Amino acid sequence: MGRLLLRRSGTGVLLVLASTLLLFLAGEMMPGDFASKLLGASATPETVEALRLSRGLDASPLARYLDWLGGLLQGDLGLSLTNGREIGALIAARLGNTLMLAGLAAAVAVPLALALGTLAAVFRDSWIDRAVLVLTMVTVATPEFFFAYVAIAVLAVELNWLPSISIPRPGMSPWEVLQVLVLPVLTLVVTSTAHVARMTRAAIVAAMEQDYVGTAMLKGLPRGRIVLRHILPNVAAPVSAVVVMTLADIVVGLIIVETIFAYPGMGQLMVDSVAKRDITVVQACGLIFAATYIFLNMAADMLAIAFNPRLRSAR
Amino acid sequence: MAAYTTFNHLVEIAPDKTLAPELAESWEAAPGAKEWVFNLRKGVEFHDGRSMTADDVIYSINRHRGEASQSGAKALMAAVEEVEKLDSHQIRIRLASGNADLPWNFSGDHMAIVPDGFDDWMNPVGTGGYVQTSFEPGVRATWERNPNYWKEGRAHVGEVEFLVLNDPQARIAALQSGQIDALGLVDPVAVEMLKGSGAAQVVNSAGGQFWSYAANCKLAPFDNVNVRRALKHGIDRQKILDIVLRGNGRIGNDQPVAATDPLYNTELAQTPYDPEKARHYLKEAGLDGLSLQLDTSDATYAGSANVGQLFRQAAQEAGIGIEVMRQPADGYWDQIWLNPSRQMTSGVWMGRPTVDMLMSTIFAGDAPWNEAFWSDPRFDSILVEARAELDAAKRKDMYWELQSIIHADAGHVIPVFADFIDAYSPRVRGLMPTPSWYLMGARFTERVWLAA
Repeated sequence: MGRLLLRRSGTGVLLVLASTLLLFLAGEMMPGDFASKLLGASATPETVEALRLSRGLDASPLARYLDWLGGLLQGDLGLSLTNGREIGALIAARLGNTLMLAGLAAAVAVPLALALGTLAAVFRDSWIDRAVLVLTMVTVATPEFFFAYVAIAVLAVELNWLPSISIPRPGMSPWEVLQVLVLPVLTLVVTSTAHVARMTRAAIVAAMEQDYVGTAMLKGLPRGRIVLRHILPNVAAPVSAVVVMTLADIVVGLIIVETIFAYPGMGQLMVDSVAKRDITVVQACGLIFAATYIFLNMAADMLAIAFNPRLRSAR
Repeated sequence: MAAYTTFNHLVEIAPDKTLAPELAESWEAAPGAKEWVFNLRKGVEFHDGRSMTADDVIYSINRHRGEASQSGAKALMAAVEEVEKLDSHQIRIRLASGNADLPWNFSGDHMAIVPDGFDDWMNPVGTGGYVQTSFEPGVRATWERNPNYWKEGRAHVGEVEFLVLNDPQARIAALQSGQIDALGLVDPVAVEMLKGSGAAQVVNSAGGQFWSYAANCKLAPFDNVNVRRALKHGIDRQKILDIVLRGNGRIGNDQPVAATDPLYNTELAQTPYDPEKARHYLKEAGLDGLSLQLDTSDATYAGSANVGQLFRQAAQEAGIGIEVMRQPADGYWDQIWLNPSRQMTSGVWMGRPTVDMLMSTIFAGDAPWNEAFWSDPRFDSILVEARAELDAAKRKDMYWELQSIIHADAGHVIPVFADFIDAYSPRVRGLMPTPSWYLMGARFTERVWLAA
């Protein structure tokens, strides 16, 4: 198993490396220029050139790529083109915010989805199963932005229960921060629960058809015990893979949710930076998103390996 | 906007679009408008307690000058040859060529007055009504009231916070749910809804913002003035104002000076929507019909493609076929606009403090943003002449003439002037329309107060 895991991590590292190249090329090909964006209504060819020179954009693309890569290996993300500040510092606070939001959403969504899926499978064809089915169909078909706007219109504007803007301010108590985060977390939970719930249900239903479950039933074991002791360990591999991929979906879905709720996270930073053509920041954000996705994907594979006794014991 | 919260400038544009003294108490030009003396206000303190003197003002101006300058105000200050200290509160500015509007150049946000030697923009120090207390780029910034503010009856609010809200729906929702007090750049579509909700006060400021269609005068057949006139008669301005702007503006007359400007030419006849006349002009140009591509993009203003469709419908009656291209917002300004191979592009302009700046930016033959690639030697020479003219009556005559040349000859179709629309929470007081920009010419933090 060790070698299998090692090979899988090696692929991950190669993928991250490939994504740096893709990100850099995408940045190079992006039309427009940060200097004319920054100077806006007062950009003249001379000022644009002076600004570009001061940010070292006169070097060849290859030199800049190698320079960037070299910096990355030393943990240096470079400088923002727009304001010349350290990207590392710029991102640190944003990344913390994003992880907090994603973490909260996952902490609610994953147990909820597992519970819903298990309930639906255990009480197959009952009204519970049908309710879960309809609910998940509806939420899986609802785009995040639509649910977010509906939630804002009802919960923030009409009822005035919750703030529509999710900017945590320094000096807020943890309780106040939670309040600020309710709407974005709700949006993420609603739009990410369905997939895991349905996969869990399908996996459990499939397992219930197996002979060992029939045997357990004939032995007269109580249903709860069958589900917890016999079925769940057997469906852990497929379900954990879906859970991890859902985490990746949450992180990516954050870009939209953060923009709508003006939440100061990585997604919003990336969208802002694209608009400002602050390519170095876009590349850094893109790299972190790509690395997160690759890492979670890798984690899903590794979990599958770990949960599979055949692979676990091999070699 | 932050520039008018933290800082003062030498001059201030008043709500009636006249020039008012700010850190300069008075100014005077020598004949020919090449030499200017500014008398600075005494007893003004920066936020760090230092007193403002001529040295600070000279430093603040010189920041934008010189070869290595990356400043957005570099072009504005290019004509400045020398800035000289006469005494502790008096400076003299010498220009390469006369400019009767020079003081207006000091009203822009770039021209903030900072202490001598200052360069720490993360912790700005100014003389303005509020002291900045925090700054998170792209998220928020906060200020508290400057207890030593020199200006009487201004800056009434205890604390100010600016939030960056990129999503248009989220902005409106934030105002309606009472989380913010002021909101600029309100979409005309939202105006009725906001007024009806009772949760907001909407302020329309008629001013210099206009939408433009620029026909490329270097490309046939638009190099023929009759073709340009046909286009100007082939657009239904009132319909665009009614349908897209929902009445929040006024119709334009293919020249860029707003009716709110003191130099607006009131005697220029309005070009009507007249398909027959448009056909007549096409015939004059030796054409039976005309077809062209019009580039629109959301990068200009929301609904620009719809406006293009209205133009297309109206022009069809006149035998002009318009293919409305909807270009992606991303990259529009860099790749489509000002591209000499495009036939007609859409643009949007926010107006400028003076008619000279406006025309020098868009209509002079060598203008950096000559979006219609139009040039007219007579226009250019009157523009330069007017710039140095100190006599108000002569200036007026010249600027009226320039407006009428643009109206009749230039490659611009200017269908409408769009109001600056702002919305405020019910507790904000002291609101008034201001023709120079959104949010009371970006100076609302200084001018408003809150109901108890």
